[in-house]
Amino acid sequence: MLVLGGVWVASLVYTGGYLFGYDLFPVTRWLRSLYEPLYKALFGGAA
Amino acid sequence: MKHTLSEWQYFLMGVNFVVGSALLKAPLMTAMFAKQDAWLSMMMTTACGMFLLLCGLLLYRRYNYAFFFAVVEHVAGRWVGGAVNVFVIFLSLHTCAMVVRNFSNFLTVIMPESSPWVFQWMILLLSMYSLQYGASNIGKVNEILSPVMVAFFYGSLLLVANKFSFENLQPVLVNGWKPVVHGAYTTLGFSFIQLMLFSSLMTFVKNKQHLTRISLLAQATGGFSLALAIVFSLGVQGAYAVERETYPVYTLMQDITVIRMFERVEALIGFVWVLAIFIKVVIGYFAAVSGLAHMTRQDNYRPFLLPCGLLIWAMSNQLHPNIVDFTEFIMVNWSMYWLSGYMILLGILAWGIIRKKDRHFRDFPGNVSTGFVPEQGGVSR
Repeated sequence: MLVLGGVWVASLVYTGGYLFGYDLFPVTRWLRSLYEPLYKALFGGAA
Repeated sequence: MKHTLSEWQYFLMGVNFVVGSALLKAPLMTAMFAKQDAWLSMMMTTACGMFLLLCGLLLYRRYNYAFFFAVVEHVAGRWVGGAVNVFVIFLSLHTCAMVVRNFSNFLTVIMPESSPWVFQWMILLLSMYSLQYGASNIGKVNEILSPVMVAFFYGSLLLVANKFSFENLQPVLVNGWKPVVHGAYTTLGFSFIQLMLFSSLMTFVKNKQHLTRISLLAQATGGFSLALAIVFSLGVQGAYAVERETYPVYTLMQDITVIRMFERVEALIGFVWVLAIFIKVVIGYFAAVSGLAHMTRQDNYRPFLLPCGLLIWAMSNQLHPNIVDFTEFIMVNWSMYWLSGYMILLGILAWGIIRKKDRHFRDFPGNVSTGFVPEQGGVSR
């Protein structure tokens, strides 16, 4: 029940954030900051 | 809810999973760097993907293809294993969100007056409905649709064969191998490493004797189909046009007119793509909800379908503001992101073998110590 409740809360909070214009979990930005330097080192620039 | 799969169903799901969202995107992503050598990039991606898959399967085989989330938890312990499982579940949901977004991006290009939300909810509701009946149902649906998809895919390529020119594929390797490798990198994570999600389905294949061979064959067949689509796109349109089109395979088909009564043939390839996307979403969704069911020790993942669907929908809209940002993110980050996840899981499987944890799964190939699908072959409820 705890996990199911957690999944529901995460979904509702994230969806609420999307509908009201807040990025509560900016995973795209985090992944970019993690992997773009590696990509630049490998291929020498953005796509 | 039944989860039994035959070898043939598993093979077809593997092929459609690889072809999935890559069919319309791969020519653009490879040709942007490799130009007329884009087909070489795809061959290279397929070879790399097969090597990575082989490494994973050789390790996973030692665990008797037991339920993946149970293996991770048994090897890494309740807390670390649980954290890794949460990461894999997130990876599955993230992939689903990206595939759903890719699907709505494509349909809003064709039907710009429609809201992307309509397409997103259509595919999500359909996926939820399919998952209600378990993996067996998904396997059967895919088995019925696959001959139609093969006929439409190869039929559409045959219809443009008369416009094919080998001159468009020349000169070969004029800029060396670096652009080819760059083109290959962009599609590696897009289709091939994502086959990792298939490990959640392997437990349910009835006869696991040839599972490694079937998985590799599925990946090779999917890679060959993609390479063929790229060869035809390049041979008919040329690299200059392919790297500037958002969906080159789709625009390729727009020029076909067999007779005046038989136009708009591009709908055929759109149909193939939509079905392959559906299979990809369902498999990613299945991996996520079955992982959650395992974590809660339930033998039924249905309570997780709706909240996960809602999360996938919100993520598919929130993660990228537009199609340009989406494509750029995929090309730069997606392969490394998936490769990182894959390496973590390979490390866990290897660590388990070193510590002889794989012996635990030798005698009982099903899902040990969990509630989700306790018997091999699934349960009916």
